[in-house]
Amino acid sequence: MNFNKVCLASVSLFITLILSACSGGTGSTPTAPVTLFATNDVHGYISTSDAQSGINSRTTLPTSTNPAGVTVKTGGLAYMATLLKNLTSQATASGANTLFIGAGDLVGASPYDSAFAKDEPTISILSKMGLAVSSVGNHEFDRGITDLLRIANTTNCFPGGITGQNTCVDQPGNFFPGAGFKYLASNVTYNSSGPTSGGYPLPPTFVKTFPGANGAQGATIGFIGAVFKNTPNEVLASGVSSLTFGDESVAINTQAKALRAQGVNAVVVLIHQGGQTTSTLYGDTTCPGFSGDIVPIVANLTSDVDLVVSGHTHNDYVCKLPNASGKLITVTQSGFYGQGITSINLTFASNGSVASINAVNNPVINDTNTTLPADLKALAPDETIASAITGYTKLSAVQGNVGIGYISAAVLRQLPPVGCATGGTCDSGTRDKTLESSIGDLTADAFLASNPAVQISMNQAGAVRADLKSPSDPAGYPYNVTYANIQTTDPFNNNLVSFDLTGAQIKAILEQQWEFNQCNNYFAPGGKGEIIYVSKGFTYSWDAAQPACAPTGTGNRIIPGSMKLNGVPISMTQTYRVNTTNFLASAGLAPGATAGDFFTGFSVLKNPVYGGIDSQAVQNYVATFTAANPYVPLQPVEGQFRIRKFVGNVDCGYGASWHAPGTCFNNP
Amino acid sequence: MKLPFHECKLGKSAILGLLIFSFHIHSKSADFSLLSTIATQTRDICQPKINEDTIEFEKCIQKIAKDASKEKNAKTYRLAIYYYGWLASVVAAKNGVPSSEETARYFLPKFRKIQKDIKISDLDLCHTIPGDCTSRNARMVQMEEDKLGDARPTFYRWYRGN
Repeated sequence: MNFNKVCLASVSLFITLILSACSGGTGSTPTAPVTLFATNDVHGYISTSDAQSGINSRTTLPTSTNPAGVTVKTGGLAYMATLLKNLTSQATASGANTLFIGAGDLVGASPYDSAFAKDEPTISILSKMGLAVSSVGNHEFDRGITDLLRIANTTNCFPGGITGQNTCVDQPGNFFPGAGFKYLASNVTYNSSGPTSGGYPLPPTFVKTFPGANGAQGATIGFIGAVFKNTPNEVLASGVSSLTFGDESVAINTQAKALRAQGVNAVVVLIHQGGQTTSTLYGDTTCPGFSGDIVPIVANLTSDVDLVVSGHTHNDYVCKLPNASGKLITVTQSGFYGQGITSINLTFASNGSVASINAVNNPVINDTNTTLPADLKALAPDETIASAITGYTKLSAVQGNVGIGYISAAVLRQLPPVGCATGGTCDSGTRDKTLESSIGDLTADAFLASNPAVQISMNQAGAVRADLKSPSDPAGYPYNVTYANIQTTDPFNNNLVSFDLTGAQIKAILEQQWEFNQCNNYFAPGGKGEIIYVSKGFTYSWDAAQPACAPTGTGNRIIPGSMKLNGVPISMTQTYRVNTTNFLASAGLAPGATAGDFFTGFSVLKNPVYGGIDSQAVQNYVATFTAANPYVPLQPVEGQFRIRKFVGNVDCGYGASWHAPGTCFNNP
Repeated sequence: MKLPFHECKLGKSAILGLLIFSFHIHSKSADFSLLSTIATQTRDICQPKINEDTIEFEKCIQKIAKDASKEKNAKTYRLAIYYYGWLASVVAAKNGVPSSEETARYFLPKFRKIQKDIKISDLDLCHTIPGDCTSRNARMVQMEEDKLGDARPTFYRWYRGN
């Protein structure tokens, strides 16, 4: 060590000691314990359930009366608020300071009573509950960094929204209160296309100095936020194109060192990345069989970090994982959809450093209908929070029932089951993923309409979950389709992405509809394959006499020369602009990504550009049809359906006969 | 042997072949150890697919089990895969992950049948994957006694192809 380094080290130490003394971090007087209350992955579940999807948060809890545990209803922020108050009272009574913290995905992929107002309701409710700080999660970027910064830093309404209807819906006076907490992101920086290259869009850290209590001085805790570095692969690319998501442990270690230099008593990481145990009961603190992407992150952390509060994997655990020095670091997660709160009690040694960390997960039991075992107790809802949630729910119901556009008849997932009654081997008489359908074609056409640069759109059968039809079908037409209807039909809210494919590559993808990976995976009895719905103007024929289940890349069922775009044969060498969901195209969107529904053919796509959400595209498309000019469901005839089947020389047409016994039966 | 499934650029079938090859190497020496190994590798491949629901996870397990069924020693291999599939689904059901209860009920009879065929006790099978066997086996028995069968909504059955 040379003189300069010695001098620098001495000065740093002096500053550290001064800062430590100022912050109350060291000294002979004891430091009061701190109890942190953590949640993660609330995903906008302000209510106890998602009325649209029918999802209710349920949790299997240990009970003395049954070793298998008992499954009860959980969640709901009004109930969580009560639990939080109860836990806070207990901690305060024992002389501890408290803080409510989060680990990301507080919003996004949300039920409609939060999503209808761009998740402002969840932000408002969590702020009312006293949330102090949270990491961002991947879903916080769902509407891009611009809207995340609006939510995190301002009280502005959503640009282009309707105040009081789908943004700024808090009452009285139609306003958005903004986040009453800090969103942190230490590994997210602007790149050269951002306003300040290398700068942080959101603060990397948050420092909280607690007051003294019962004669003990208060502790100072530094919080570091981070989100998994592959976030850009899971969100709308255009929304994060100005950002770089760096290595989690590198960013955390850098910030932890800086916080230590400030003399904090403890460093707590809030990170949206996690793992899972093999425990079958909520609240297990033994951490059996732990695995997950958080393990290598913790393994690279320095001992500047005392505690890791994690998320993302929708599991609950209290674990101890080795850091870079082999020191065991407490790592927690509380579950998801507001099912629990992790209580984490930190005590401090006489020198101000962390002496112990004890954590436990507490379930948010809202189950008033089930007879609970004596050792479990349902919570009562917090009236203030419950009242606010009721307001959002009522307003969202009004919005969800607003008509968007008209259909002239039911738009179905399948053809009418011609022959099913006599053939007896249709797919339970409901639907068939091997067949083109009216609703599938509608979604593909909607994707096409969403992007004028696109020539061919595709959607996979698994993405379409319900018919679009009048509640009084076959009466009630023209029917004014509601937003809620579309969310039920197309609930995934996947991103749309456009890209380049050659004609040969398009053919290879279509061949995969019947190749090995699809065989025995998703086919109706009597049929093999999974259909890709294609947009209007793109047509082709296939020959079921050619072998199904060919090894990947060797299928030969598309009839040569039959692929056409607006009547013009597709050139095998020409490049076409195609769009679909980021799920179906996933093989080409990130190195090593799993192929959506096994369609690996998308791995060769070029120049991907994200744009739009699938359900929004369908909404916009349906909105173009009026009561006087409703959408007319396409029929399995030339000029309407796009995929024609042959069995050798026998022309089976567009699907109506495929379910009927005979040559054209939906055979392998 | 640790196989880097999610990173390897080989086709999944080829990788699975390697995995099955590893099974052949070890099967004569320690079946329980092998069950653990296969369960761990199944976890590494399929567990990341559990997030919003278990549909993709279920497909992943089915795919691996189907490919494994072509092999000479497929029963033990498929037992490990289906048992892990059941356990991971029960763990997800503990947290209320949508469709997880149904996925667990789907895998339960599949591994129970093989378990009975090759005569492995509940406790021995449980010990192949870490965790509390009292609560896990009680959950298994409870699920069997419920006799709810495959109670998933129609669209899940359709999605799975049944």
